[in-house]
Amino acid sequence: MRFLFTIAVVVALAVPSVAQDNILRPKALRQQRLKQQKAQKQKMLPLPAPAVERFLQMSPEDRERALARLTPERRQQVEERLSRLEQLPADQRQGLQDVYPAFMNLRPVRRQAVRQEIQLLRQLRPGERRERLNNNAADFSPEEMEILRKVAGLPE
Amino acid sequence: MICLSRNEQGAELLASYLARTLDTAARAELDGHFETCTDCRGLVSVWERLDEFKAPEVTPGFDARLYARIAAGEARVSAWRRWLWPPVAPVAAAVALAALVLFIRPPDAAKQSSLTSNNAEIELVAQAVDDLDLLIPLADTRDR
Repeated sequence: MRFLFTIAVVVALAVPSVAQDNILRPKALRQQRLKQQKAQKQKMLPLPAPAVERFLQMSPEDRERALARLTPERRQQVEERLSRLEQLPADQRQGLQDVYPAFMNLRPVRRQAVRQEIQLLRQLRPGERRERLNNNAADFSPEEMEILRKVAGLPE
Repeated sequence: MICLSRNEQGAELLASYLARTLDTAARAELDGHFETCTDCRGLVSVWERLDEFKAPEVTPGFDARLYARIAAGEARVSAWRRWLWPPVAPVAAAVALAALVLFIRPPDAAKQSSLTSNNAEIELVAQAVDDLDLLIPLADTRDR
């Protein structure tokens, strides 16, 4: 009888402690995960566009206010692209760091030409991209060709 | 028009009248006009009184003493004031002008400007997002 009573007391003391552990553990895990995410974000390269970085640093309310100025379709498009950019793997982020400043250094007219060319290249298979770039090399300056090659994933 | 205040050559006519270099006919015409025009009469009387004004004689050596005092005053101006003062005036003028432009603006204009700037800012962000997305280097498998 005494033995059973002892077991009952031990169980009665242990159960709340286990239950508490079960409550605390997910919270601790969540905090740890948040810390890891924060550390990972800090390690990540910033996006090379200061306007976008400024936007990403805004509070959710300010972001919402700013996005509300866009049409619903445009807003959706921007949000999707932003989300894609935020989840970009490190190597592609690094690629952007190289390409975007060079792209922004182009004159607006040439920037537009490069935009159009990239849009066309995106619709082609790698082999076709290479061929198109080789055929159209005369239409672009060396700086523009470098951007196109990097974006097309066809370094010289 | 003979009236001095309405004549383009009024100042010259007045000067000639006061210097007594006008011909008799013109002088007589002006005298006749002054009898009826109180403005011209007042103008002429002021100038005549100014002509009559005689500055009091200055004491001997006045000029020398004056220039000596000016020179002494200039010497007292400390070096920092001499260095600082000339740039301060244009800077102060620029600040005043900036304040005028920034603050003395109709509230609607300021609001409109802020609204436009916010719209421009989000458009800038959206364009940059488009460009960044477009420039993401294509992996062989990442064709969209």
